[in-house]
Amino acid sequence: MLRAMSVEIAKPGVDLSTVVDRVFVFDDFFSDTQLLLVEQWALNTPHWMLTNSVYDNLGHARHRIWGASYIQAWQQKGWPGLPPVLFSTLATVFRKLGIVLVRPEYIGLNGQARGQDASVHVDCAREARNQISLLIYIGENTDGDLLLYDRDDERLTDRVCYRPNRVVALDGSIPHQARAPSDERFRMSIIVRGTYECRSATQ
Amino acid sequence: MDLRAFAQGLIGSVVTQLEYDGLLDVLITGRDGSTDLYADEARRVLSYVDAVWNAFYGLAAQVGRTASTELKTVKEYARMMPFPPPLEYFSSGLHSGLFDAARDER
Repeated sequence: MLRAMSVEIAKPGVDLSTVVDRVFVFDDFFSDTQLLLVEQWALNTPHWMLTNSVYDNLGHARHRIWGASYIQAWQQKGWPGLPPVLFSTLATVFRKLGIVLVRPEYIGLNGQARGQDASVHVDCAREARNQISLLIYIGENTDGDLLLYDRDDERLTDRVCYRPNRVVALDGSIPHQARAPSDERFRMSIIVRGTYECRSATQ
Repeated sequence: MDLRAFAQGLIGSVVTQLEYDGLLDVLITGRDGSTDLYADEARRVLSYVDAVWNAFYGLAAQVGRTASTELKTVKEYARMMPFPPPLEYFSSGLHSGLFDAARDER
């Protein structure tokens, strides 16, 4: 049976206990100062590499974009093992959304310049009720929509515009794709995904 | 120098350069419902204070989970803290026209 995916404009405090087939969009998430600080940190981090890649079964690159992974830092020392500004940013996200990732599978930065379209992919298995993907848009004011596809016929079903200070929480089993910006600016986001639990949200 | 003192120093440098009489002055200026001309500036300072302390909490926990043989220098840890944006950032949006001299139309 086909189920409709829904994109919902939401506010912190919304119930995120069920994310299957859902995409939540939160705008104006951080204070201007926190956004500026995390953007400064991200642009200055020495960890950027052209390593966010997806290959097909034949080993051909489907996409290759800029990235910086912090999952190993988490595996070694937990959340405090992250760079402090990233720790502070994610603490704000978890607190405002009332969730915490108990087993993250990826924590990192994604960066796309013109021409660096990401390929269509999924982050987790279908019906994985305890999985969530968080996309935290922090960079320059540019475009590069998040495209969402139907699971069964790969039809484009919806899109979420890139906009700094926007947080997208979604069911990562929905096939999705981040388009590259069409101008010279840098489309930058923090990506966190994995197993999550709900906690009480704080405004 | 310890990291707590460093965090206090980062905050203190902003508060002092913007000519507040300490954090209490910032709090009063930026309080909810404040009509002070500098209310927005003070709120940006308070956001910065939050960011510094949240980063400090993470960093302190990180240091606590690190074997003494693997510890970095205080300077290296200090560099990981959020340094303040330019002072103009805090003051942006101030109605500067209010302080302009009257135009001489004679």
